Amino acid sequence: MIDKILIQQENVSDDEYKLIEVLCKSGDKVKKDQHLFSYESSKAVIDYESNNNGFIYLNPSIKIDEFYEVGHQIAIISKSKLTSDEMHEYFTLDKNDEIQDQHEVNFTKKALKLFEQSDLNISSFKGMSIVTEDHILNFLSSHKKRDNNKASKQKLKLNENSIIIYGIGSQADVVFDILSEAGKYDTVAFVDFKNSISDKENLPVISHEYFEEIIQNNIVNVYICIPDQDKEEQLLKLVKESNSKLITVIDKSAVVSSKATIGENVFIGPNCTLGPYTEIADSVRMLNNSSVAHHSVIGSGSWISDGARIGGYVVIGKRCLIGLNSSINKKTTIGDSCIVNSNISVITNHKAGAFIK
Amino acid sequence: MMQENFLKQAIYIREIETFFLEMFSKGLLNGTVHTCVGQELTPVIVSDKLTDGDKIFSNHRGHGHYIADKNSPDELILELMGKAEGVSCGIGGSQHISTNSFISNGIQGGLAPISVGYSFVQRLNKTKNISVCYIGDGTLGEGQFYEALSLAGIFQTPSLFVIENNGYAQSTSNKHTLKGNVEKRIEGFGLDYFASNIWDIDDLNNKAIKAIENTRSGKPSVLEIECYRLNSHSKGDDNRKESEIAEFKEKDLVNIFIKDNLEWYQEHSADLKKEFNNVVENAQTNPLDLSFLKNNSLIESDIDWVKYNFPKHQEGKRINESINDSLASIIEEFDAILIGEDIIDSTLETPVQYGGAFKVTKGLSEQFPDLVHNTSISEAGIIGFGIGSALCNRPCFVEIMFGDFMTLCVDQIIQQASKIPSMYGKKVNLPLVIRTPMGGRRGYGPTHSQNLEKLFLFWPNIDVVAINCLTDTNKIYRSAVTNNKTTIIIEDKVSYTQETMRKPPIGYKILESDEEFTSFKLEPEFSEPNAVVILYGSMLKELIDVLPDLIDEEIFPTIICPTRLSPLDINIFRNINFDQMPCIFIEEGSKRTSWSSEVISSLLESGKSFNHISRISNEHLIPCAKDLEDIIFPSKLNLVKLITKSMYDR
Repeated sequence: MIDKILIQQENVSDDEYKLIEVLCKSGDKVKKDQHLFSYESSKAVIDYESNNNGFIYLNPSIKIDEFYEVGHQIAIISKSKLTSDEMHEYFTLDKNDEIQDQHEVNFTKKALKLFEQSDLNISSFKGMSIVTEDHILNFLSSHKKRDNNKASKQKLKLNENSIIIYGIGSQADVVFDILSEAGKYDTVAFVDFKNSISDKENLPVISHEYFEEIIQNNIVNVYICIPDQDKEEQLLKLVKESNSKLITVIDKSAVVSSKATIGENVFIGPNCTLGPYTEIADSVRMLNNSSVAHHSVIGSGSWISDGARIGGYVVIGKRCLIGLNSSINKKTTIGDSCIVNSNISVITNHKAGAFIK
Repeated sequence: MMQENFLKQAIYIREIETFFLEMFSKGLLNGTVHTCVGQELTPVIVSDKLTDGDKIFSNHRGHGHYIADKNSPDELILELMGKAEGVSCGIGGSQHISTNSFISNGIQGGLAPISVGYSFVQRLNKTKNISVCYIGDGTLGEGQFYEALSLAGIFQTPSLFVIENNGYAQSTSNKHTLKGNVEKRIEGFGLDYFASNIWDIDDLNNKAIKAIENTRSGKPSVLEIECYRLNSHSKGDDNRKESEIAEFKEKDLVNIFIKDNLEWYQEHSADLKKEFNNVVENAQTNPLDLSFLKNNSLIESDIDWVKYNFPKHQEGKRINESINDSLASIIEEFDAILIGEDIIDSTLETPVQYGGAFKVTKGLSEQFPDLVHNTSISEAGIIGFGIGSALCNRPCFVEIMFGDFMTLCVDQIIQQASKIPSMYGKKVNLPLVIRTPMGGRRGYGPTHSQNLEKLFLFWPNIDVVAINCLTDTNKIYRSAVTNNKTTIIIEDKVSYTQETMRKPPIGYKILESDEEFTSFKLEPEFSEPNAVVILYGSMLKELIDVLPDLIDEEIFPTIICPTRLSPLDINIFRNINFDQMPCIFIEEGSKRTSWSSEVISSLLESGKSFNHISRISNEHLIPCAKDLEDIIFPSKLNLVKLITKSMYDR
């Protein structure tokens, strides 16, 4: 079984792409999702990841920093090992096929109708032997995403109270709700780095690229809530280095001691209590009804789930998850990246990475 | 002295058979036995004239034939007792026994054409060996016997037929079932006829010598021996007159000899009984071998798919020409025999080259005059002839001109070809290949257009193979010979004149399996498939022809086209997501109790679940008129409509 790896059409405007990096060599055993090589469009770098497990054979004619047209065969992945003769046969035969394919693009009936209605250019489908309705719909939807970005870019009007929420998940929903209730900030947009939707809560969803442009050129408030903590950390850094600033969201029902120290991009939900001399690092989330007593320290990126109780002089490391309704006894220390199960009581110290049950 | 020896041997056989009947009444034997009490002198005298390399083709009443040949009853006793040490390992029993020099089957007349094929190969191999086929007078009503006589007459094979005429077929006197003159019948086929009777040892001996010498000299012969069966047909089913039986008992030479030598007989008989009882008492109880009984019609092997390799030797050739090339190379390599009706090129009377109704065998009889032969119109006979050749390990191709005529071959295929390789408890190779075109769309009407392959599916030891527009004929026809069993190759009348497909359809890739009989899989490259179509033979080309139109309708099926229909290897359907897309079967013949029925039930049994199944087939009697044929058969004319309907009308 042979899988062809071809240069894919990644956007509307580019018909050819520059091969910039090859991370494997012919005969290597590769795994599904392994990053094999990268090519560059006029706008972005595309990392090609393997669709299958198998042995990779690179097209002997490819070179780094050369431009290749859409449909050009970069490599093949074979289930079994190939001899060099067999390998060359695949490339020479396919070369012939390609020449023929380039002459003709066949549209299905539905695809042709859509193609004509949508006023598309045939070069967008160059190198494809058959174009189906799905191909056109996919093409149009990626096209539309970009259009959405362009449109919303013009609409955003910013002032000192404007806030952009980075993320479109459930945490973003909660944060948006609390901010709307408080009325101090005015949410102007969400950011989705995957460009999967174009609007949310009647507000525009903008691309990461546009977000970067905005935070560099404007003074705007930002709250970041995405599930990938590494990425979140990078974004934190990005915002801190820009002209914009990160905010901390505190629900109006929360009781926070004036002697507590709170970092940036922190979330403190409804009915939470924060005692004196507590230190809460960046990006900590305290969810409904949780409490941290006096003199305790919570590391950056940690989540304190609903109803969790944390006693005095407790130290919790970075990126920990404290489960629902659990309690941490006073003077307990928990290392980085620990998970505390729901509904339990922690009375001893734990090292980093522990799953505490 | 010679007479005495014959009589003593006859007594030996009679003692064994009497012993069998005793064992039977004690409940030590299973099933039934047919004894030859009263007829023993025939096999004793005939076997006396046979030499190494001759082969006996026996019948249901074969104990005497076997013992006269083998001179020991031990393995037969164990066989009847159903022991693994029996001559057929407890599988064949009384009627199904095989050794190097002996083979029997209880189907009347079934072995007659096989004995002709056997002796034909003996002549071809320039041996002096003959075949001896025993039949009873009842079998004189069987058509296959006359087909065998016809073939023996045509090919002048060293075949001897011994008719043991005991006057009764089971319970029916042949006065009611046999009219006319047997001698004239035999001579009518160009065979020499000899007659004798069981009550004149000298005459019987002389006639046996003459008949066998005549046969050995290359003249097929018949020896008819008048005799009388002193016991019932089987065990207790005698409806003859007691006075008649008593009269023949008196006349019986063995009985007379016993009466004259009573003292010797009593002592001898007691010794023999002791000897036989010893065999019974020392019989082992090793387990019987079930593996011989298993019908391996469903298999699961590891199958790998690789890119389709166009068979370059078929470039620019029509499929009938490719088959012709393959046959020529295989005949040359294996010294294989090719027989059929109207398959040779020319004769004095017909000087214009013919070479088969579909020209598949054109030129072969000129290239291999000793190996390629026309036969009479005797479909069952020539399949039997092929089996006889294959029994000598000489591969034989039999062409059946139209697949419809395969109904005439059912007995030979099911009772002989399917059984011989395993019913004798040891593996018997049978390199027989039956080639026949099935299917319609050429206006040949109700009896020349059917797809009857389903009659032959899932029998043990029979491979059914259907070629298609991608087939490498060299590989498939060679595998059909080297698999050492009967292979029925279904060809397609319509595609004989088409060429093997060179390139995949646009947007598709073709994969082939690494099986002995290559299967094909076509997959869309431009999209995930949204249906799976399963078909075979002629239907592949029809579907490929309309694939662009199907794609136009947004239908991109994965197509699976096996070559071997039976045994079925369900692993060719591995990795097909039947539960996620509709599955469509296309068969040219009727879908009722067909290949597709079996595939669907086997897949269900293996745990697959289906999103949707539909079957496209022809459920009509086949008309001659083209307009009607175009409507009833699935073909490129209607497949888009039929497939679209089954995809969307659910």
